[in-house]
Amino acid sequence: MKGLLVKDFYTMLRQMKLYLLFILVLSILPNMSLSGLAVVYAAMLPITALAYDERSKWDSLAATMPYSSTDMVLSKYILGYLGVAASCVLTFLIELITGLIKHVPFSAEQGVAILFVGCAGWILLAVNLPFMFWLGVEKGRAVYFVLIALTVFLGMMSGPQAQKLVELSNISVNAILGAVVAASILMNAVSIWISASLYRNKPR
Amino acid sequence: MSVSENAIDLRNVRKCYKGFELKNINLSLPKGTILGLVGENGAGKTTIIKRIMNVISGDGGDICVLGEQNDSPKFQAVKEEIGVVLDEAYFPEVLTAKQVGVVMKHTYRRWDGDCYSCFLQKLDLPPNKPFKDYSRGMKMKLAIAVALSHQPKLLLLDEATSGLDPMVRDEILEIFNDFTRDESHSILISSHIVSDLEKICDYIAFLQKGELVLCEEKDRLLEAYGIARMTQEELNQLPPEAVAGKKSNPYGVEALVRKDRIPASIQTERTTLETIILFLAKGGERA
Repeated sequence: MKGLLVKDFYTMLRQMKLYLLFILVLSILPNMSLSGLAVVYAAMLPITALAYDERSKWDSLAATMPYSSTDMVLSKYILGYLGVAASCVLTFLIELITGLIKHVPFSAEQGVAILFVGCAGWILLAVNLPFMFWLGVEKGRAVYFVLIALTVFLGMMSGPQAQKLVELSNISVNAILGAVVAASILMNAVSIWISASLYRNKPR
Repeated sequence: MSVSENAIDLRNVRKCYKGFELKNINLSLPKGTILGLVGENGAGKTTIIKRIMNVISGDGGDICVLGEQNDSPKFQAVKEEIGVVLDEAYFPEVLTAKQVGVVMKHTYRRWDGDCYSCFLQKLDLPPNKPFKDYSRGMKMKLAIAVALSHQPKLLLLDEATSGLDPMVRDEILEIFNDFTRDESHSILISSHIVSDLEKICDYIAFLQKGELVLCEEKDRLLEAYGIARMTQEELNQLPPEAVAGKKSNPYGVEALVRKDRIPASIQTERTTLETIILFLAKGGERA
């Protein structure tokens, strides 16, 4: 599977450079949710990689190589995980540096917020990737944007109430973070299983 | 011939698509030999190669490759020993040949980087040029270089020489010939260019509309058939099983005949594989 990841790395090299530029531009803009946007962008990496594969019909060739369906699917998940994790680290570093410049120390809340967003990115991958393997890149990408719109809408509608509920219920942020991490792991495990089944039965 | 002596064994292999059926294919590729698959577009050549690699599911039959059933979990390891060139080289277009080499190094356990570099040099492939800027011939050459650089025991080549100019084709065919000097190495090659197959193949399999019309040793095939020129009346006197195909012209009839089934008095000319295939494909309809 390492070969598949190396292939995706080479394929995405240009995108990754653009991504870095995008994050740096965002970081200097005031009032931008840097971590959220960075993760949304990073979660799109597997979609772009799949688009390249689809265009070059790489799957037909890879099927003749010593790769299983699970390898093919898992490599895209790992690419997404690495992208989201890198986004979180990058956001942390940028917020740390801008904090130092502005003489505002990096707070624990900021760290927790980055972790929450990272988990949200992993959940986004878990929900979206089966659609990509099922419907193909074009339709799967549309599903991705619908998911993003839905998440933003639900966040805006229920965010303040949820925050109030958390404050009233005495549940610690750490417990919520633990639950979100567990949920993202579980959702990804189920998602990988579904994607591998869909990929295996894909007509070629 | 026992199973262990064959690199590939196909037994009653079937595959149904809408409007096409691969019908009970029985085919063997003895180790150390080259088998050429000939047939028109849509005859089933690519389907056979995809079935051998288990890229597509089947509708019946058994396929054994290098001693392993292709639907067994162990076949994954056997893929390490198979080099495949499909009808097009499906590498991501932004990758360079050098990067393809790195990807393959992490794909095949027995990847030989030096051997790959030699092939790039020999086939005149620029290592740092993106794949999308390669010509079709260069793309196919890259696919061939990759297929040969992980010490395979079996090569499956689907129209691998199409799109290459005659000189490069000759060079590639020489490489394939060298490959089978090791008696554990075998090649299954499909091609429209029958003259290429005539140059290198030991066996020829002819497919028509999903059916295997013949699978014969090339030399025996060339020995068995001949071209006879005669009048229509003379042709009518030959037993029907002696005539594999005929072509009428204003001066008489040109027929592909089985030499062992015609009277010794009839003179025949030596024929080529291309002529045999053309006559067999058209049969008696070619008037």
